[in-house]
Amino acid sequence: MEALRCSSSGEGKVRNTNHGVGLMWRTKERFIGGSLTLPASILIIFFWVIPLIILLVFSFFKVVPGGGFIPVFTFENYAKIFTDPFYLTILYRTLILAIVVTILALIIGYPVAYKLARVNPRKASFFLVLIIVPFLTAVIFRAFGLIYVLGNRGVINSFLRYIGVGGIKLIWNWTGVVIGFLNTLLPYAILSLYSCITQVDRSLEEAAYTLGANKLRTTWHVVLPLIKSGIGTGAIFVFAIVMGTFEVPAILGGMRSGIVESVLIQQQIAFVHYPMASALSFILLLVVATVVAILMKILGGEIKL
Amino acid sequence: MRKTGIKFDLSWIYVWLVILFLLFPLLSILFLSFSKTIYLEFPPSLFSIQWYKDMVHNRRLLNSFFVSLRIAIPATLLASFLGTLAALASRNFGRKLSNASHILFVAPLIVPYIILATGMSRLAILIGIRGMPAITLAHATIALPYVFLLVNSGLQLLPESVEEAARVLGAGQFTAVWKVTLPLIRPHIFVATMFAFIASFGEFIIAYILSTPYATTLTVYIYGSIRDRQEPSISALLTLITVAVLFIGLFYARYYPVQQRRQRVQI
Amino acid sequence: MADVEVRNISKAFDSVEAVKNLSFHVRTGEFLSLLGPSGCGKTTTLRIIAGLEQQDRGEVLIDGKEISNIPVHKRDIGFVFQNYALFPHMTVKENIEFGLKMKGVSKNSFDRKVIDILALVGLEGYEDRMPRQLSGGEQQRVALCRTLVLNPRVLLLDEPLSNLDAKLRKRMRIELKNIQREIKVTAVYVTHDQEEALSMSDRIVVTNRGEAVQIGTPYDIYEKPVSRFVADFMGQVNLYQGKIVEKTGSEITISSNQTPDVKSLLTSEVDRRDYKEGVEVLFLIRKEGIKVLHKEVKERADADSFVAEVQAVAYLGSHSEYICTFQAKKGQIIFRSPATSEDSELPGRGDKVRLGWKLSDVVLVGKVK
Repeated sequence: MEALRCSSSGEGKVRNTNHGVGLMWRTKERFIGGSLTLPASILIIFFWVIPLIILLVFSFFKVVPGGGFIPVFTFENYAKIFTDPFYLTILYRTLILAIVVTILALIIGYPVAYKLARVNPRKASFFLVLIIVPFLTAVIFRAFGLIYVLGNRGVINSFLRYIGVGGIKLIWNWTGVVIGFLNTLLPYAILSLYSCITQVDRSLEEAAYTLGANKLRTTWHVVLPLIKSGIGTGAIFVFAIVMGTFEVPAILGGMRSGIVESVLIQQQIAFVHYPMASALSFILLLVVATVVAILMKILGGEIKL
Repeated sequence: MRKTGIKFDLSWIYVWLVILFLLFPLLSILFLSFSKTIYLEFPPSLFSIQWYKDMVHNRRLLNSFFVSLRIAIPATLLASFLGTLAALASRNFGRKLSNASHILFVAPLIVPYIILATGMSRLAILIGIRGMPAITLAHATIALPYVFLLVNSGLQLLPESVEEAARVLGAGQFTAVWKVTLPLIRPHIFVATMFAFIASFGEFIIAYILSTPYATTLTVYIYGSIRDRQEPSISALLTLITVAVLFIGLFYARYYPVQQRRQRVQI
Repeated sequence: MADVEVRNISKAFDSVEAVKNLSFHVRTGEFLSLLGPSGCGKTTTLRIIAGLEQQDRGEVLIDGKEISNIPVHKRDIGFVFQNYALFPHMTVKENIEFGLKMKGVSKNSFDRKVIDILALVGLEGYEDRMPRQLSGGEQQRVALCRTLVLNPRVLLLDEPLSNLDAKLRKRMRIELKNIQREIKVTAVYVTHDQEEALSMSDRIVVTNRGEAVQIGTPYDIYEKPVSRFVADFMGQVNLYQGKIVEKTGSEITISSNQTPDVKSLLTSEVDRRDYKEGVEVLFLIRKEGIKVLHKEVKERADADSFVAEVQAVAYLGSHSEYICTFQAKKGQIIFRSPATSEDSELPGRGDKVRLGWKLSDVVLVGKVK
């Protein structure tokens, strides 16, 4: 999980790659060697950069009522998104969902991350493995499994009925979606917090205790400020994934839950409002980028990828 | 802080609860695959292997599984090969070029796949590819960052002197990398390959948007089945897949740390 | 200001006994050191007093009241860590204010208190610096300020000087002791450096493998060690084993194969009772008491002298160290002498010298079991 490395309060930038090897190679070798990045670059440019450019271009095309579009440059798609309450509500809901899930993931995940960071590493790695195992399965597999847990005829509800309490609606609604996301994303939060907390010296907490701070106050005043980058990394991961994941809201929320992605798909499939879908995509991208930028600013530190 | 005298600790209960929560879906799939009923109820009515039998007869389900494999394996190979090359080659770069290439190779990780899928669908129409080739290429693209990052981190751990020693002893550029560097980062490449495979095999949205009746991956199939009908035989297949993954993971987990330790001692 | 008592404390970690039945009492305002080699349980004991560890058995009392059930943050005890543990994300001022904030002291008094305490340690003007900008010694003093500003009843220090270089350590020793004396706080100090313990403490508890081996004033510990371990640890080099062959009143003669027969005095009632002829004893000859005698000096009743051969001389600048042996005996005797002398020649390797010491310089450490 090198991707989730953190730096504690303002030290250390990314160390440079093996310059020694580079300098040692002769110029001709360096050129040949460097050019080996070309195939990978081509792949990405072709199948990532270009699709995005196409998307951008199409987002400015004019939509023809009744179906299709014409290649005329116009801002009206973007205008529509910002003025039509339908689209605004969707964007708003998606944003709120992402924020709620992020905050919940961090709050629920913190005690786990802290506990694991403070026991001996061997014990911790056992639990970390348990946490990572679900990672190896696809999101949609887990969503599938969750249906049978949260559904009306599923485990939880039949258990509740068994003990006499009524059933509760845990699926086809926002609750189901939040639970689904948490199930997928808690590991991200836990791991990024964990890797940071392990770097906080225990004696700092002990010092706080001796100075009259109880556990809660120590956490607030001493630990949390020192793991800002871990919180940031976790938040960014969780937020970006929620904003960009379709499976969970579609499956656990039902198509009626109205999140950006659902709308995207509908328009996509309809193939009618492609420019609209494109514009929506870019707005989505913009929102994610903005929030990530804000997060990185607030938490001020360096978040290594 | 002061703990209670006994091992009993509230915080451990919390940890176990969270972990149980995370494992719940997988556990429910496991139980469902052996359940006598279509739904998973409490108390669970076990034990039946009817769903496994169903699975074997479920043509479309099994087809989608093989489609997933036929996409994931080439995509993984492509991403691993190109990604490793890129990681090795970018060691040559100076600061600016290195940062730029870093951003380029990691980019697909950052943008939500749904956006990429939307763009890809247009591109696919434009250049006339569809179905499996399109999905394979798209998956290779999104898997590349994983490979690049993981192999890169492995390279950073390497002491430069090892490759230099090989050069001094007369090995050519290619030989030095092939015989010295690559074997040393083998565990990293292996893990990267695993990540790439998982990224492709479990990917939904791109596979969905680019899907055709012939090119339906397992994930797309599951999505369709959820909307249309109850299909517990899926749980049988998923259980088998998960068990297989666990075995491979365990096997590798025993292999990997030893490798690392031996490396450190030698170097 | 309070007194601290530790009664029969025991603590084991995973079947390793770190502290075994340890007891001692620190009087109000006293500076007591826990001295011993690394890993002998002294830090654990300190942490038990602070509440950072919980003992398996025994009690900890402050001013006569059991505190074992009081959590760390309510014990009102100051703790200075070996690595200082300054909060890296807070300024010096914020670090010092931390405890005041936790206590709920009114914010108006913060500034004044911070200025005063910084002045006490000589760090005026350091309020806005960050810990990473400070040197080791400065961090050390800020850590001290952080605890002292709260006027704790007891101050616990866990090898606070061991991360500093030798010269700074010597200076800080004096400063620390002065501050403690000025504020009159009861202090328990953990160290493995016997020089530190000797120079700073009112009393020392020498520990080995979790047990208290000797408790006493620095003078007692150094001059009258009660076991080979203590004598060794405190740097007594002339340690021998022998048998009491004669006892006349308070004077005894010890025969050993390491030294010629030496005489010693039994000074206490207990000693006079315990040590009889035939008893095997461990004894030391104080190296501070050994002098090179010149022929003119005549014999005295309270002194002994023997001829020895110089095996090695080490010139150490301020003095020379001599290693000598006695004829037909296995032991070595080590002592110091001024390096230069105006009137007579200094003995060199191979020379025979006459060494003399008072009978009181031959100290009985204990019986050999």
